[in-house]
Amino acid sequence: MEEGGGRLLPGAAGMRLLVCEDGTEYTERFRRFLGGEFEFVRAANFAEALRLSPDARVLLFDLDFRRTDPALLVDESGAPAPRNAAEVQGILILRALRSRGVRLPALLFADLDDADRTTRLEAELAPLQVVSSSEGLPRIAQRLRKLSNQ
Amino acid sequence: MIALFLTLAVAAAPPKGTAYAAIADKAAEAPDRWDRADEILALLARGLAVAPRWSRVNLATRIANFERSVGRTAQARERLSALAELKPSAEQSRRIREMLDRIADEERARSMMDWPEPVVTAEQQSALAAAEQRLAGGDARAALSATETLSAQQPAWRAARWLRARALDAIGRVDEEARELRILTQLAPSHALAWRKLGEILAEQGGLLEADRADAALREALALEPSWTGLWLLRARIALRQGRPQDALRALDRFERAGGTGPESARLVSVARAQAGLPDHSVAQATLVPSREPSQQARALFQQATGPDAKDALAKIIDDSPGYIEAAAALVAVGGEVPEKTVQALWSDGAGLLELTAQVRRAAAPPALVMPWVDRAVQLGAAEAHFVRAGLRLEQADRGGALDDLVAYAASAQPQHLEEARVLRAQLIAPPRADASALQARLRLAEDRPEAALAVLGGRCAAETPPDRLIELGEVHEYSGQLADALECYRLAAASPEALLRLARVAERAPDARALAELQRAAAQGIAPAWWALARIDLQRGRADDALPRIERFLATAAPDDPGIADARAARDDLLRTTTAAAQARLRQRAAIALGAAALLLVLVAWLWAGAPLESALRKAPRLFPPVARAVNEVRHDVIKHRASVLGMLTEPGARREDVARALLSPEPASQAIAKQYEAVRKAARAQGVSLRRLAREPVFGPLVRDLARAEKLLGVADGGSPELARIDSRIREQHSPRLASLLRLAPRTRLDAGAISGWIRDVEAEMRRGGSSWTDPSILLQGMEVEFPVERGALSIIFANLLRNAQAAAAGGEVIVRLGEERDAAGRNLTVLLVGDSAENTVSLDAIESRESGRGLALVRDITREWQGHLIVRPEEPPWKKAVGACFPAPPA
Repeated sequence: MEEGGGRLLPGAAGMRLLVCEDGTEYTERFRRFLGGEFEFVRAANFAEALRLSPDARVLLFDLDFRRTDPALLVDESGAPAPRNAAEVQGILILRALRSRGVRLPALLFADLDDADRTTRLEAELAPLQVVSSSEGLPRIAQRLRKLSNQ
Repeated sequence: MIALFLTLAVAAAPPKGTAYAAIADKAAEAPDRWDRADEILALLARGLAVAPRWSRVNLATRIANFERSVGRTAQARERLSALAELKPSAEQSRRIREMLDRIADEERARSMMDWPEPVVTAEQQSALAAAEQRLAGGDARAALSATETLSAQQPAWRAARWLRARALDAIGRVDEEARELRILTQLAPSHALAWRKLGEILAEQGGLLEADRADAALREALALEPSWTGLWLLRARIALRQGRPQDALRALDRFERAGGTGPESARLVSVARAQAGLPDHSVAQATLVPSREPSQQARALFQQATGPDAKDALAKIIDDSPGYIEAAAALVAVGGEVPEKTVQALWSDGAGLLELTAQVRRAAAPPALVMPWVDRAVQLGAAEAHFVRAGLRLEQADRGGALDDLVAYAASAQPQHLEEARVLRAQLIAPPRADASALQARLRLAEDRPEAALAVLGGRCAAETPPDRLIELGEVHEYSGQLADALECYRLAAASPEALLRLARVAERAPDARALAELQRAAAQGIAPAWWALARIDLQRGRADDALPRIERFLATAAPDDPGIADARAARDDLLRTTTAAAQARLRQRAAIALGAAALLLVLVAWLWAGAPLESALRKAPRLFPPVARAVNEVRHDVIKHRASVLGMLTEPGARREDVARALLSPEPASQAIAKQYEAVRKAARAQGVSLRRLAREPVFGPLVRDLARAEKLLGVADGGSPELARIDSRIREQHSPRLASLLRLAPRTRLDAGAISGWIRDVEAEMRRGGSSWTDPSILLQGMEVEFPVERGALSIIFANLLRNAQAAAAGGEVIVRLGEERDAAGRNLTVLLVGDSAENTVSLDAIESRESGRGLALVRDITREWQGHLIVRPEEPPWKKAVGACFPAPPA
């Protein structure tokens, strides 16, 4: 687990956001540009996500976890999953969290071609917003502000 | 003033004889001698009266010289002729002869003076101007008609005759034109154009009979206007025609010395040389004498009309032949009167009336008797009538009438007594006070003696020489082909418009930079030859660009007969040819450069646009999809998702520019990262024999790299460029990202149905049986009619064959099943699945497959599947099968 190192702006304390990804790109980027508003905490797998989620206000998920140790991959129930689960690990972790009662608003960074399926997925794992990987950081920041104020 | 002084001096103290001689000499050169001629002559007459006998010859000779100097040549000649009585010495005789020669020369020179112009009315002037306009307008017949009237009214009006001659020329009545020109040259021997035209007509139309006159006319024309160098050629032709090759050669020499050149000159020289030595032609001339014959009877009676009965006999003869002039004259001679019948008979015969007048006058008839007949002859236009009447009028002391008749006579065609008329004129009008030397020079030139003409005029041109004399000297130099000397004379007299014109004419033949200022002045005054002269100076100095417009100006303004036109045209053509050649060379050079540039451009374009864009390359080579998909995914993940997405933060209040820059530039610039990815794709494509387009021109990667490179550059600067960066950010998300995604949709599609699977199965079966392996016909479970895989057919068949071989080997005669279908992943995405199950008890895991070395069996399946963006799956199977191993791929979009 890595703690967010960004300097918080006054009044930002307590606004902890959990970034669940197999690397550090999202976390570093968010800390660098949005570290003054939010505190970003990274979880590299389901277990970390489950542990850190109680202190978080918003969950952020990457979809693909191919860089994660296959032994740490889980299925939608949180049970260990084969390595081909890495491609959709973000959804699987979110499902596992939801199955454990974690109802925090979540953002999933994924390029899902089918809009209907995206809508269905957002409904299934609500509150969830699927965000395109090409979404600019300012738009993501807007979403975060909105979600953190809910 | 000198004469007056001398007069006063003589009056105060009468001199001796020698002093009178000195007075005569001084007076002959005094400027006011014309005004005081009578007074001086009276003084000299007194001197002669008191002079001793021995000095009279000398004094009389000096007085005659004075008389000559004031134009009283007749008196001078008479005085000198009378000296023979005084028995002059040999030396005195020689001086008298010289003086007589000098007088004769002056008289001859003065005979070349123009006859006085008649006084014309304003209406006549207007009519002439109108006729001139008609001729200019092309209506030569109307002009001719008008001039005929005017010439009838004013026979000596040379302007009307000149216009008439030109009108006749315009309508081709050459003979009449020649007649008109003859009259005109009689009236105005200084009319150079008339001489020239007359000479040309006679030379070209007159044949051998008129050759002498043609040559004479041309000689006069050249004496008046030496710049008409072309006339020398004409004179040469005439000389050749007359068999005078030496004269022809001399004329041609003059032509060349006057600046003339050309093939015609060379041809004539050749002809003249060939002809040299041939006998001269003789010109036979026949003159028809008109006859006025009486009847045979009258002639016989006239022979017998003698004695006392002659008067009666003659009366009878007149009755028989009233026009028998000899008979009428004889009747007067025997005391009778001119029969009225004779006058009546001859009343319409001008020549007859004149003949009658002459014969009757020989019979001592008074002028008054014959005057009506002569008047009638004049009225009838008889050839010599004016001359006869002039003599009669002079006899009757009617000096004005006599002069009128002489002028009219000079205006008639072919006057037979023109020389006598000139002598008569000298008695009627005061001799002009002009210096005769110019006329004498002209005379010398007409004799083709330019050196003598120069001697008459005083030799050389100098600054103090009067302008008129400078021009005269220049003309002589010009005539003799000494153009440099002529130019200098004209240049010294350039203040005179005439000198300026002549200077330009000479300079166009012999250009001389010393006359540059004068030529520029002449050109500014519209003197066309000056343009050609200036152009030739330009050409001599190698300034063709300056020369060309001057030549054009000259050609536009020069008279049609300007001798420089042909050379100017040739020079212009040469210049244009040179210019054209230079332009063509420049054009060729430019064309070569353009061609080279075009070729270079073509090479550049070929270099830049060589190869195929990714989209078409994928269609042509489906095996290229895996490296393309890898590159696209990498770009989307690394650049689009994580690095470029921060560009929009520049507009956020808390964001720092250096952070944005670092995101885009570290660890390496995003544009370079993409370039590397693309280069990897190109390399893979080359390995497959496909040439991809260069990055800068690739439609998907190229613009993305350009935008990113631009953004990187803008971020490298301290501030600014935010609007452009915002536009780039927008393009990345809205254009570049979708374009990249579209490449992923270009994966090849392989549709597998039962037939295709069966075929592949048979292939594997045959192979395994050949190898002696056991074989079980597999069951096939196909979801739907067919399943479409985003994998190239060959790759898919390898995957399938290896899966089947692995299952057959594991089953070892047990059950084998092949499954093809679609399913969804956790994200709801469609996947196409190919599974081969077997009934073997042994287990297989993905980790085990992952750990296998590449090259064969399931490791090969693993690698190929991953290459095509899929993944291996291992699943348990319902009995009788135990497990299934397969590959799944993202389903191609519908």
